[in-house]
Amino acid sequence: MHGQRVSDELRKLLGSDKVVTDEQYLLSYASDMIPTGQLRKLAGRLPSRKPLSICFAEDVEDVRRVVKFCAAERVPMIPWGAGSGVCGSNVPVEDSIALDLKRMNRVLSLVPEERQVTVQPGLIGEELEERLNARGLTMGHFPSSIACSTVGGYVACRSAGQFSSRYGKIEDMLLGLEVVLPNGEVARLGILGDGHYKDPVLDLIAGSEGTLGVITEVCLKVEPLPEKMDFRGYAFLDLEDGIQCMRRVMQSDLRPTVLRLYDPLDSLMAGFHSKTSDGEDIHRAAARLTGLKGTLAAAITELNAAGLAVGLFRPSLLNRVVELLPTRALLIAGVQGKNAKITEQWDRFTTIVAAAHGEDLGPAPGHAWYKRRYAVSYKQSKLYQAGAFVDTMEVATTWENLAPMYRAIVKALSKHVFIMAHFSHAYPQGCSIYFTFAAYRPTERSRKSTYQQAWRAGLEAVQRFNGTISHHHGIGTLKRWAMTRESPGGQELFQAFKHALDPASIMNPGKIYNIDV
Amino acid sequence: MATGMSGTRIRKELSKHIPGHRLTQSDAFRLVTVQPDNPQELHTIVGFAAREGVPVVPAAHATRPPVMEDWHIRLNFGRMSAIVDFSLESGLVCAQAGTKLADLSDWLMEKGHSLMVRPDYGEDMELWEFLLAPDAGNFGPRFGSKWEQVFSLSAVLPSGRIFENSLAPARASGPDFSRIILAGRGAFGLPLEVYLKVRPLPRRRQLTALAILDLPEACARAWKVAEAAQPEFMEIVANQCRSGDKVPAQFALIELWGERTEVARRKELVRKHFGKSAKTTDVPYEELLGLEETCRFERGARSQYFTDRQGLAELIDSVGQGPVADAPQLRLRGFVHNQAYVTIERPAGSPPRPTTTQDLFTSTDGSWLLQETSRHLDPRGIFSWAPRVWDEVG
Repeated sequence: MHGQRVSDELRKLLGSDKVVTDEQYLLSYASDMIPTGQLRKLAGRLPSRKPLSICFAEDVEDVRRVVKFCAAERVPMIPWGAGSGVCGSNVPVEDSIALDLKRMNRVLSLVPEERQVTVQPGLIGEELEERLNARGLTMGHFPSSIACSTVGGYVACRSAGQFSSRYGKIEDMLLGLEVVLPNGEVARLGILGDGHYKDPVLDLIAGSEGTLGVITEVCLKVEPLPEKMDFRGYAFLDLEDGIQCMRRVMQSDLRPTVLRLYDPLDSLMAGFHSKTSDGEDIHRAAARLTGLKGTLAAAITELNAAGLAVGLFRPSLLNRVVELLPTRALLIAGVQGKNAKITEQWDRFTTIVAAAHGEDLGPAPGHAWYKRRYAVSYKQSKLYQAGAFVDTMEVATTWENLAPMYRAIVKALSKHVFIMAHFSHAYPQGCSIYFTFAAYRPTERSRKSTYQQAWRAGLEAVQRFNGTISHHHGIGTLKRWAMTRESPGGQELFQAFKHALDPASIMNPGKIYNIDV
Repeated sequence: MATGMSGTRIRKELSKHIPGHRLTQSDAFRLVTVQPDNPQELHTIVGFAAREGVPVVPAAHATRPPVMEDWHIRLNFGRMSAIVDFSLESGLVCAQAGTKLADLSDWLMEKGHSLMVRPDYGEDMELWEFLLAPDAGNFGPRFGSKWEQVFSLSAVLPSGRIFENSLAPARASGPDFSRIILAGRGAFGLPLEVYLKVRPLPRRRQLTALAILDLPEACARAWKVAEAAQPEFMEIVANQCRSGDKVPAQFALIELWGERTEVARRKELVRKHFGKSAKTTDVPYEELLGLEETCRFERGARSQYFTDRQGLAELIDSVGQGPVADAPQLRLRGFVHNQAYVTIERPAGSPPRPTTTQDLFTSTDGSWLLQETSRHLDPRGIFSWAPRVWDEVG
């Protein structure tokens, strides 16, 4: 069907105020926040594809109309929340439309005594949290994108928040879903249907990135707001001691609100400067280095953006300079509860930290982190404007593989990019590692090439340890090449669901697996 | 879908694919039994079955096999019973499908560790049975049901392909197909090697038995008990089948793990929140726990399902009438996220009477979705018999 006719038909179905075809709108829906899209834009080039039109659904009936139309006319459709994904889950395919769900942003029911809330998928996370706080409740889900991401998007990509060590990831909070299937039928799952709170079909839709249906209702568990939260910082000379400390905390009966261990470079970037145990000041150590190494060391210790940008030309040298500096790893921990409980929890923390050779830095680093916890995501655009690229890679593995996998990834990526990491989202069995990497290349082509080499080297290192290639960003188009090794046989199961539910392959095709149904 | 292949031919063909294996054939039951040694052999066997349309039925120990008219392959996992990995650091054990739960528990006990859920059907079950059987296992608010204990698994799909997922917590790499394999009860795949979460044995285990004086009140209060004290295990039993002067007809069994002071604090919370609806009994915990065993009835006389607060209150109000009129035993667990897990036992010979249409594993819509998909995954239906292994259970 021709693009104009698709838009005309959709207008007839939904009304003209719910269908937009203005060029500037279409361009803004041509990519989510995947860095390759940013690189293209910064090179002054238009996206290779944009949707034919954007539909704004206001209720489940709107969604059903659009889905039925797309199935009948074989028009691919891309469900769209806030477009904050970073893996290309929302990238359009040829002759597709975008189905924006942000107008479906109501809280449908909130039952404080049963501690559950049911919302529409387009509700922004921060708005939901504010509504809950007003009733003395919290969702406990605080992704750094909370101001610009939706509840439906959280479920579709299995999102994680900064307090996940206490509240879990979004799938741990999920109690029920309503989904419009690719044939236009509505399925109610978990406790929104006649299922139970651990209905495994919830685990089919969670993480499916809009490939198996459009989420139209989400039921989540909520918790009472804590009486008080408190934070502290701890320093470790050896990163692996910090990892062991995290493991012991997570395998004890403590349920910390926050547990984040920054590797030495990420600690520096987080503003953590302290003397090492032998009293050497990092600035003095940096001053001893000469030539370009000295310049780069000064840039690192002073957090000099211009100096660092120079270093991004030669990321492998920059990484080596970091190794020459005496640094420590910073652990940020947080607990919550009544005053007496908080003291008791810190006492237990102190014992575990001491056993892992850590030093208690007091509350200042913890509270500083809490204050600036959303700031980091907004620093990336400056690097892009300077001609560099920056991206994040969130992977996970078991405790016993964690340190070796971290080292292998650092080694694999250091050749291509400047790299740092923190360990967050910890569980009794393992932990996630969140790498941030950046590099400068003079041309769009070389930037793209380095970017792809870095991803390939990183994910191959993850898979040597049987770790997962995604802990909370999803797969999209960015990582789908690695899915065969991530889950052998998974494609066969995925394909069976696509055949059964979406034979015309209209639902966000080409995401997670690149299959032709 | 019938294969039309005779038992003798199935045996001959299989011998070519897995030479050296002793294959037994039963004309009476129209089956050829095969005992694979490893996942690669299963890949070969199931691949052959998929090509030829021969049904594959796992041989369960805790249940009777389904009676089939067609010749089929009976999979015996007895030779795949090794514990293949154990990580103290990560709190994980990996065992093969044929590992007996009792053996695994003993092995872990020697290492100072424990599984966090017990099977309903007794520990003579093999691991694959435990995971696919239609019950949630004996669980409490602290650790969740048996499905929540699975960290990662490999499985043979109906095509013969081996499914695996990465060994990591909280994956966001697409849908969690390991959960779908479990929910399919064998229709989507048979587990081969499973990583389960384990915990060190606690320094102290406090076993508390309470006689319930007011069942509706105790059930209403159990939600608060679960939330405040987070017992490792908690079960409320309304027992008509064996109570006497000393043995209370209605009781609660609570298990608390941890350090002495912490356990004492939580025990106090249990007492506080049950209030006057329950009191400590002189009958030992083990004796009351043993009552569960003596009250077991023939398969087919049990129904199990999840219900919410209101559903549970209605059920308790109807004890002695309605859905639990002829139930000698009613057991309640879970009390997690507004849901309790109900087991109703009836006398031998009584027909199963589910009190709800709800599938134990998923919702009506979820069940439809799984059934539709299994037809595409397994067009010849060779794994479609696996879930029926437990059909008699109801």
